[in-house]
Amino acid sequence: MKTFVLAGLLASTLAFADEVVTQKDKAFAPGDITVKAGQRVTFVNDDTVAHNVFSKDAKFNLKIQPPGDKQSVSFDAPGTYEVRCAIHPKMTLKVKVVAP
Amino acid sequence: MSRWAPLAATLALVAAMAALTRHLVDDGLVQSRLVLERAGRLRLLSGDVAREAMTQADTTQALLLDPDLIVEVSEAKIAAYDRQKAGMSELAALATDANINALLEQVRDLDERQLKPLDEMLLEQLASGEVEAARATYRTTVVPARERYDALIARLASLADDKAREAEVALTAQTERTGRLLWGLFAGAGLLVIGLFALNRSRRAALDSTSRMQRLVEVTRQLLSTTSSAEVGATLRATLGQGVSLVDEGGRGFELTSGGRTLGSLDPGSPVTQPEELGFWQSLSTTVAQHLAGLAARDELQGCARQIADAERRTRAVLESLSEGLVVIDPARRIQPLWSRAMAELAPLEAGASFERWLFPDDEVKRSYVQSLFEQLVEDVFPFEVSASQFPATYERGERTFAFALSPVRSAAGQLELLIVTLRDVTEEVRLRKASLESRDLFQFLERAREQPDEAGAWLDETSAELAQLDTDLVTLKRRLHTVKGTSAVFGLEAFSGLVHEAESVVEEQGALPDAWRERLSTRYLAFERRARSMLSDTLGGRVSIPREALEPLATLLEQHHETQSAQFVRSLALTSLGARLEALARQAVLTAQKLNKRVEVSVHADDLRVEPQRFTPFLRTLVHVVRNAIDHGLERPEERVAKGKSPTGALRIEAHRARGGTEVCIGDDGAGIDFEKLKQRALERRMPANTHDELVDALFADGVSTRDEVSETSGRGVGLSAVLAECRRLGGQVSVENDHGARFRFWFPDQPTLVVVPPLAVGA
Ligand SMILES: [Cu+2]
Repeated sequence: MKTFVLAGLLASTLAFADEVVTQKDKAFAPGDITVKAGQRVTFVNDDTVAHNVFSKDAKFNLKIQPPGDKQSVSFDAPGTYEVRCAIHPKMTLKVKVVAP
Repeated sequence: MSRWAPLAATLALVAAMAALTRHLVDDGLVQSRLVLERAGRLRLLSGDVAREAMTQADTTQALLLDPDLIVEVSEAKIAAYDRQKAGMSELAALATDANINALLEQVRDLDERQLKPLDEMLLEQLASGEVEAARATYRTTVVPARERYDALIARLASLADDKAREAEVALTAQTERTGRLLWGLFAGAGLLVIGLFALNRSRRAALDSTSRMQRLVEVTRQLLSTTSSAEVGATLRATLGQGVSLVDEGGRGFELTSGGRTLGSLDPGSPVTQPEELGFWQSLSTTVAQHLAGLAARDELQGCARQIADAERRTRAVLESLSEGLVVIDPARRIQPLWSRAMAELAPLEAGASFERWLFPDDEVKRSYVQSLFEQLVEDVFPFEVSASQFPATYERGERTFAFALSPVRSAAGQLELLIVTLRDVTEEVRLRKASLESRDLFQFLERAREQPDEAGAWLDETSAELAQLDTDLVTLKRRLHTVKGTSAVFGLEAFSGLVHEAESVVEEQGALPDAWRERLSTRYLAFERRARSMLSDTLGGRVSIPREALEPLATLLEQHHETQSAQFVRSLALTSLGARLEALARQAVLTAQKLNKRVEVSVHADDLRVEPQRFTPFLRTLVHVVRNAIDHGLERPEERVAKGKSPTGALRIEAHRARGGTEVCIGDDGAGIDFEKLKQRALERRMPANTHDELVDALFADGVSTRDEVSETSGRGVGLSAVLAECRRLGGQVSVENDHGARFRFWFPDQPTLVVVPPLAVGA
């Protein structure tokens, strides 16, 4: 029973806080982030228009995110990923994933 | 002085030729090649940029038809955007021409200030569900802007084309001139040099260094201006090296020897006044000078030959790497040994062979037609451009289409010497242009079809019929084409309507519609029809729809052929899943509980029963009242439940199963149950019979009878429940209500033919 509790504690200290990326004024902020492998990135649409965030490299597509929407993606493998918006092609975000 | 004239002329000729060659080789060819490469790249890039822009426009168009496609097209769209951007930067770096630069600026401006913001706005509208607004934006602003964009790109491509063609012509003309020069050098000066070499073989070894030759030229000049033999002797001594020596004969004078032979001698101190002495020195000088000229010419020629070989190699390299098909032919249409690899890859070329045979190996009619065009061109009666414009603008070979162009090479006297034929592969451009126009047709048709689906469908049928019957008398043919042209324009098929118009012109000219045209029309139309019909069914959800009423006749037919299982399956298609309907009900239950701050766990068990939707839907819809009643009236608040020793979360079971030769739907909760005592009291207050269980159930479902004291927003007054009873009875069903750890409502319906179907054997089991 003790070991179980300890393992639970370890797990909770090992989990990282989510990195938050906002999409205000048709731009990702920040535009360049570094996260640890396994860490989650939360995409918050605090803009007045919808966005369609996706990444070809990281293989995800958050579909249409209306204003106010919030979605998280975890980046599991180290590397550099480009995240774009299909509605606003000028929006780019670079995610660098490093080994934890 | 006349004997010096040939020498001077030879020297001048050699010098001039050398200079000319150097100029041609170093500047002209290299320059032309650069211009050509640049122009070719420019043209390719402008096509690329247009294609990438079109891809982005296509994704937007697809989204206008179905906004949910966004996940599938986002990657492709952004990739196209990035490629377009890269293409534009490369174009800007390449464009050195002021016209092209100005045009590029316009393209960039239109794209960045209008098209891209419009596209973003349109997608934002789509994303927020304003589909109609987005379509209106597309029609009123995007389409005209795109048309302007296409026109600019077309102009850019044609400017780049002009540049490329100019450079090609210059390059080919230079190559040709260089070749002629080479021939001239060897045919003229070359023979002279060989002659001189033979004459002066003995002295050649002594005089092969360029610097010494230059010194000797000076000596010769001095000899010609000297009158004193002493001076001549001193100069010669100072100048001549081994092989040619000047012997001082002890005051007798000098003797010029070479290889043991005396070339001449001169007395010291005596002025060169005698004609014979002068003659000797003159002839000596002439020999030396001729020799020198010969050697200089040889050197120059070797230099020229090397440069010409370089130029040839470079020209070959250009022709190898040139993406254009290029071949030089003479006025008799014989292929000259100068062609680009792209041309030879299209079909092998043979120097001296007939070009029109190469063009049309299997088509004698076309061959003789082209031959006559060439003959007219060579006659040079009309301006070249006029005759050249008679040729077909495009040439098709295999699957590919080429733009056909001719440029003349004229002699200095203006005589047409050679023709440069270029074939530029425009397959992709033609295809894209066509695809773009066709997709615009399709889009506009689908817009019309949305407004008038029946008319659009009827038009598709009628047009198929009209086009299938073009093999008819002239009057009917013209009428049919005219009908198709008019109606297709009405339905937004501008490109197709244009094609039919062309066909009409052909009929007007030839008095009949050639088979090729008939096939072209029907191929184009059938392709359009197939896409249109598939898109129309896509807008209905990507399914093949069979009217529900057609299923029963189909099932009957199958039964007649003893295909009982298939018949059953077909019937099951007409049915709706009872489980799915009950799950929807469960979701409503959860929402209701949330609203009332109650916790409930809903479970649904419905086996795999299917029911006839038209019959059951009204009843199933009323069940929401039963659910609301159970949550609002039946389930207690969490704290109340805990006090009673129950779990704070209530349970609601929704079930459907086969029972007593029929189907039973049960809704039960684990709440307080129905207070039948209070119900009886309320029923009696309203003067309703309330003695038997059935009478109490009737009272429960009656309007206005509620066991609750207050009326809530969610349920109350028992209004809804009366509807449930009515619908249940309409289906011939029975209702029972009992308390079993809470209230339990049971609705039972007897089987009717095709009312309930047990699913057939699972596929693949
Ligand atoms: Cu965006």
